[in-house]
Amino acid sequence: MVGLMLHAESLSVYTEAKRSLLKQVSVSFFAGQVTALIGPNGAGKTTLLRALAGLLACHSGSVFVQGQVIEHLSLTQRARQIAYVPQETPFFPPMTVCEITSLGRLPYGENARRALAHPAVHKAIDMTGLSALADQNASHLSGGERARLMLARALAVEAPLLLADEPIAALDPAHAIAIMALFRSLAAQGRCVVVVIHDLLLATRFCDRLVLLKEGTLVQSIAPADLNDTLIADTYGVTTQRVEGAVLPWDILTS
Amino acid sequence: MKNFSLLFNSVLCGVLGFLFIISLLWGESTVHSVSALTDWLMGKPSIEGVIVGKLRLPRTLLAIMVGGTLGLSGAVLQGYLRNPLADPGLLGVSGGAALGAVCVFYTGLFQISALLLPLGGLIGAGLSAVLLLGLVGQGGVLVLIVAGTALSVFTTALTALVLNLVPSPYAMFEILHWLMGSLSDRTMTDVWLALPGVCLGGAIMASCGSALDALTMGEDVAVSLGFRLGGVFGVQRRVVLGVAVAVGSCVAVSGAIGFVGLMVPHMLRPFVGYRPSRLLLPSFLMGAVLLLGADLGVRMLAHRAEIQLGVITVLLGVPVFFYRLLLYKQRTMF
Repeated sequence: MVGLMLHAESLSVYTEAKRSLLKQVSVSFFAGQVTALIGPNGAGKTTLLRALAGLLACHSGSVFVQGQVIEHLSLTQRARQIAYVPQETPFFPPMTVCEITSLGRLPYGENARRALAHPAVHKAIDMTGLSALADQNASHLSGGERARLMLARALAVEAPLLLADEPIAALDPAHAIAIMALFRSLAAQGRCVVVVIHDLLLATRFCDRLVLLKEGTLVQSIAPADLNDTLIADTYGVTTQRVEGAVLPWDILTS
Repeated sequence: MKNFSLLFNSVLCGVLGFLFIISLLWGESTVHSVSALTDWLMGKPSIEGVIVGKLRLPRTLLAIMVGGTLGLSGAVLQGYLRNPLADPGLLGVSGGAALGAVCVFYTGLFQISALLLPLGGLIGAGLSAVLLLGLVGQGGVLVLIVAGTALSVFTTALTALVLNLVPSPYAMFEILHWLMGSLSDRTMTDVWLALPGVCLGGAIMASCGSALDALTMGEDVAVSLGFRLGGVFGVQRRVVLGVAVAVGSCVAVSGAIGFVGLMVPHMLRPFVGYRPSRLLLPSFLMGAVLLLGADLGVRMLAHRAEIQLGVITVLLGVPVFFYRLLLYKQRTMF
């Protein structure tokens, strides 16, 4: 298929106690698509995302970035290709929002002053709705603002691949929609976006594809329209109820 | 911001230059500044020239090297460990250097040549650095902290053992005095002994600036930004090696001078900000200013009471911490 950006081939990862975190997972991600990694807690979503970003050594299998084995790329090349947003936001030192976002320019070896002035940094701050806070001390931000700052830092890399681990978990509905819409527009520019997400409504509404994981195995890779009650029940162990005539939550959420 | 940084560093350089000149020209015996300097520079054998070139110059240079190294190491370690209470002593290498020097005292070897004292320190620092690197292996930050603390406790215990076994009270007094840290009666030989380690370690530490910036966002982000943390040329190995080589060389010639590494980054952050890379150069300069100033203080007090340099730095460090404590308390109250 055209535009294959990232491909995982039979990835397996174990803990030291030999518990299996990923079992022979093979999956592909394409340019111009937003792909959601979904599944219950402990399904291996974060492990897969970290493996795809090259942050985790796999016990077997390989990751290919635009056709090249990830280990064959230098760390700098890798950093310019893949931007990564971790799940946890760290304790921020009292640096400004702008300063922290400018760290995204580090793979290009730009000095602090040039990085701060780089258009990508200001664009990233704009896109994540942090413009009003650009000169604020990041250690005083709220949880949701921190999450958006982590995303802004990754966007400043301007990498063709964006891997984000639960980027909207801490966001209010309006910001969650705005960020998902941002992922759509990045995909429209030809980038490949992979997000770990728990909100199935937003996932089905904004993503091109859903990759379902359960207990470290890939259950299915489907189009959002194919997410049915049986799949949800199998993956999460919950039953879905569809009420005739009810205002569906995604109607309320449409802004 | 950049301009402020430049201005701030220039001011620190100016203060350091001023203290450098004062340190050369001021002392118990008054020297005529211009003639002493010209005598020394021209290599003319005059008493004034000797005082400036052989006594005051090594002391001044060592104060700059040791103070700068401690300040820089403190900034690098606090940045790497993301812990504002990290201190160069944490790695146990300064403890190793002290133990090496104390062993030279104990065996009486220092009576053969004064050179053996710093050499013993260097060997102690080198051995403990190798031991530390071996202990840490491929381990992460936590392993480094535990290994450093273990090594530090171990060398302190061995130093206490040696002190315990010292046969004469006089030798014990000498050792305790040396352990407090001082720059008096040092020669250019000491400078040459410490210089390679200070330059090499300093260069290695300076190369870690951007990696420390990336680490402010956590290890995964730092790796995703293209920095190798583990492995032979990883950031951790470079930080440990840089601090160990530079601080080990300094402690070998000056004894243990505490608090400079801990205090300097704290003093500077309100002025230069919290970005670790921007803190490195000012920390070197501020450490040098602080130690040179403290050493001048020691020399001014010399005819009243003999106070060791290490004692002065600790006394200076305490108010800084009380001040920070008050600031933190105010912040949490409101």
